[in-house]
Amino acid sequence: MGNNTAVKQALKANPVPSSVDPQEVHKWLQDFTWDFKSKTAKYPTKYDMDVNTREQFKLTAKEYARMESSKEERQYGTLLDGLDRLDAGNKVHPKWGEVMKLVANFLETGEYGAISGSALLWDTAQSPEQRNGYLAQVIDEIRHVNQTAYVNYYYGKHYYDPAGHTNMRQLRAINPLYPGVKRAFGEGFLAGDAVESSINLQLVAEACFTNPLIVSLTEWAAANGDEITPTVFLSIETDELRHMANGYQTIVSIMNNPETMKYLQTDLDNAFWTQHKFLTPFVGVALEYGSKYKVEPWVKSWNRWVYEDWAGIWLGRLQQFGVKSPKCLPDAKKDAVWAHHDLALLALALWPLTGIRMELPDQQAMEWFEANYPGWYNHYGKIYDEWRAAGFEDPKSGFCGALWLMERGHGIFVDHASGLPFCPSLAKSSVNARFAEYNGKRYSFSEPHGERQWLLEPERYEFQNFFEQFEGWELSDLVKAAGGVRSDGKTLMAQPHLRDTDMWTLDDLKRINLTIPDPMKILNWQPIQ
Amino acid sequence: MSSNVFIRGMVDPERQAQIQALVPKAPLETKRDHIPFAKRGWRRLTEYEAVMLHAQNSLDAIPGSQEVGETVQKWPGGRGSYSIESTAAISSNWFNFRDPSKRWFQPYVKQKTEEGQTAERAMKAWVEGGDTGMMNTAWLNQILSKHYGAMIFNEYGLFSAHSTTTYGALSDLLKTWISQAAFDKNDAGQMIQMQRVLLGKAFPGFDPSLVEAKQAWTQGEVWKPAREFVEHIWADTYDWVEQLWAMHAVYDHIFGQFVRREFFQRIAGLHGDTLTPVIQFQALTYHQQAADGVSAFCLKHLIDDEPVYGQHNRRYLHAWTGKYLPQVEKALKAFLAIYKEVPVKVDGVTCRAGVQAGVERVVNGWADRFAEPIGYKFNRNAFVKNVMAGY
Amino acid sequence: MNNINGYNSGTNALSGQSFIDEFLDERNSALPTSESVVLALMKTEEIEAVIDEMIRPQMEDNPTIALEDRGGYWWIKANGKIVIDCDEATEILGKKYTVYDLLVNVSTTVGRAMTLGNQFIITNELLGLETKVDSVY
Repeated sequence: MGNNTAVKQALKANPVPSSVDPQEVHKWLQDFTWDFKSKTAKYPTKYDMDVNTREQFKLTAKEYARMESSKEERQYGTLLDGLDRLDAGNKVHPKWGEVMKLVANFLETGEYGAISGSALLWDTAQSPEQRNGYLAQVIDEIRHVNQTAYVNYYYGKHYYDPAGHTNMRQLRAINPLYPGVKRAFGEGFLAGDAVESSINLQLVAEACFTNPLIVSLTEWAAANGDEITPTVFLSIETDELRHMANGYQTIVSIMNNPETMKYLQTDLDNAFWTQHKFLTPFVGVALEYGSKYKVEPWVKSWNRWVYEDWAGIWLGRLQQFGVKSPKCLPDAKKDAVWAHHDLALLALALWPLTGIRMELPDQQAMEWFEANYPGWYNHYGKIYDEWRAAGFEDPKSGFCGALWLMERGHGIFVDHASGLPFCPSLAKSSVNARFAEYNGKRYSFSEPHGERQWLLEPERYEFQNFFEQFEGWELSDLVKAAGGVRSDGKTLMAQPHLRDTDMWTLDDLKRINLTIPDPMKILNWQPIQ
Repeated sequence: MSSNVFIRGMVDPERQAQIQALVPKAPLETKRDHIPFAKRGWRRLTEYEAVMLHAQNSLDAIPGSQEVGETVQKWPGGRGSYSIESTAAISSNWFNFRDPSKRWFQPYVKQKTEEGQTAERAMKAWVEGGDTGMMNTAWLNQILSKHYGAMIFNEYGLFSAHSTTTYGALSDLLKTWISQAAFDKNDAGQMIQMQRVLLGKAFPGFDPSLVEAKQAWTQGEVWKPAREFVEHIWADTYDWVEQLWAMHAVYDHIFGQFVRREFFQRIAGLHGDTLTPVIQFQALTYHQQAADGVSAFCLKHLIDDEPVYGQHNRRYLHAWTGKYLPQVEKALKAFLAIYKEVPVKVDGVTCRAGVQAGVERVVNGWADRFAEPIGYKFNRNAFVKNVMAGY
Repeated sequence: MNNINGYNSGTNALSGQSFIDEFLDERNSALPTSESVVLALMKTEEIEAVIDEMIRPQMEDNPTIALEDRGGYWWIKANGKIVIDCDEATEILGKKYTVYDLLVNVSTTVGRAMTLGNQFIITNELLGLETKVDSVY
């Protein structure tokens, strides 16, 4: 190492005077602004952001473009040349090819939310270096929307079942899991105080959860024959480190004012819970239930990326400046073990609304689940065996998991804070159901952390949930209205198995005879005790 | 060294055999067109639209949205994001906007990279080829040091004003175009500074710092009305369509065009400065693209193609033009005082008639491009006369 | 290999119920503090050279560096900081390779990352709080 020092020294002694290094320009950025009377953010923050905050990557617009262009050339070169010739779209295990319909599109939602979230911070931050960093992030997020969409687009062109890859932007309207994405990834990144958004977007979602969602997910992809997703996602993540730095510098920029620092802990706790509440179960479902070939239990990835590394290297190191452990951390850890199994049960129960083909865990998967999550079979596996026997896959059976649950008194509710469905009587995660009435309307919550956010600011979470929106719709009508039917006009895009035979049609769905109910009206709803 | 051997499903024979057993002979679905539900707008969907259109997961209250329902988290107080109240302009379908330059991320950064490389090579050739020897010292020390530097603040301020237009824009293709226009503004400011850093290397006496330039921008009379416009658009204007129109279709198409094209591009060569035109040429290209975008948005999308609210939108654009044109006139008038500081005077270029011809070119160009289409009438002669009073 | 930063070290070395018991144990339910940094490098031609000729040699001097093949990327974890000097990488690769070329394939970092001239640095220091964001100019 270091045997070229002489060359470096020679270069430094005689710098080429005819070129300008990007960092030589960047060092002047802090001088680009000026003070004037009305100068203030249009979206001001309750925090006090330091105008002298620096940016860690020191990129100019042109150098940014050069770097990004290189990423794009490599990524699209791989996709359009290499992977095309290898027929990569049809080398993927169908379980994985299906779950990517949701993963790519749901991540796209987050990337889109992040465009506005970064624009908000670009407005609020007063340091020119920070603004420069946030503008680059806005453009990055556009890149990421293009890229995640391109995964669907590429699969749509090459994979043997394009249905759902081509139109998830439409199908998601009836997906009961989708409001969960919107809460955490859509509006969680952009609707609120800019620093609160930054904590959600950068400090928690990007610095913490994108590592398992975008980086370690590529291991599962590669294990399951998918080289498309790693090509794109690993390249997406090369921008995230700058975003994490933006988020970190935002925290640095507020740390010197103890008056506003007092808000940080609450915002951090809320952001961690908000992001965790969607990402922990969703990523777990995608990895473990969307794969044939397993890499490692999701809870281990969570322990590594979320607890040991993110909490330890980011938050743990900030403890000396007053950051404390989020109160919800023990519950989040419990969720890391069980929440994705709870959500998978509901996703399978509601399969016609997801727009993808999925199947019950097979024998091999069930053994893997039991080995890694002891107690899994007695709780979930038994139900799946019963569903299988009752004709879960059979289009003539008229069977539907959601009805099976309701008939046995297992109500499915929507958590009004996270937007996700939950089943209080079957949950093994940190569910602790709460019900409340406010302004004549009934609300359900899956646990107190989210409920507390709602109790403090109910007006921020005013929306109709899935059941309120679609109450009274017959299931097959709803699926048809959302574009969930293939081009033959009758076969569903979503299926409860992966075969090309015995595919469910609209008529088979009609046979279930399910009209969407509002569980808050029918299941002996009781006020909170 | 690695403690595990990673099995890749694509190349592992056992896994691939299992996977291929599940792949049916014929595709399960033959329709492969992307977002088949999307309305075509005024032309067939391009790849750029396929990867971006309807990515916005907004609320169904935004006309044209695919969404069913609304945002699930709101601002304190209950206001949702992406609200149609963010502008007085109204559209029957915000998702019908199409950027004429069709730039999604990939072509955008590719183009900018090429421009960066062009600038890099030009700067190298400029220094090494001996062009520096032609530079007029007074131009260097008076104009490039002070006024050219002041232009950085103009670009930076306009870039800053785009944050809330990006946030407020109501559809995906709009946000893409607007943030690219913003990035170009940020770039334009940085490129001036890049040039000034190079000048600092080429001319030992040239100080690339921004002290003098900032003084000219914040305290000098030449830039005062321009600065007031930039400050107003950046900090005091809340309607994002008004901001876009005022910036790109009024201010930058008159004042910006004059400063870049008629002043720096034209006058630099007279002073042996062959570099400034190369750098400013990029800024002119960026403005051209922004002008095309704002034209496609405000004139085509909001008026010509708008089936219901075209007249309403025209009235607003008309009113905004009337609101900002006097300030732009003042800005240009004040800027003309710069000719007093120009070291080399050339008849037909820097004389009154030469400058007036430049002002007329810019004003006529603007009137044809943006005033005529919205039926905005103004007295061109009086405008030119008022501006020329600053000469 | 008994590296505290190893990919499956600590709690993750356990499995099944013993893993879950340890993971949910009260001792592990508060914020940990870590002295490490993590780096994920996309597998590419250039990154392979960086791994073989710049990271692996450092492992001889620094036993806390852990390196793991994760299919599409290399996972690296170490105590303190990791520095990649792109002037040196330029020599190794035989082509111009700036820090921004390296960033094309740096897939993630946990810790504070920055560029310093033509160097890429990922450090456990709290930049801007404990130390300044350095600049070479």
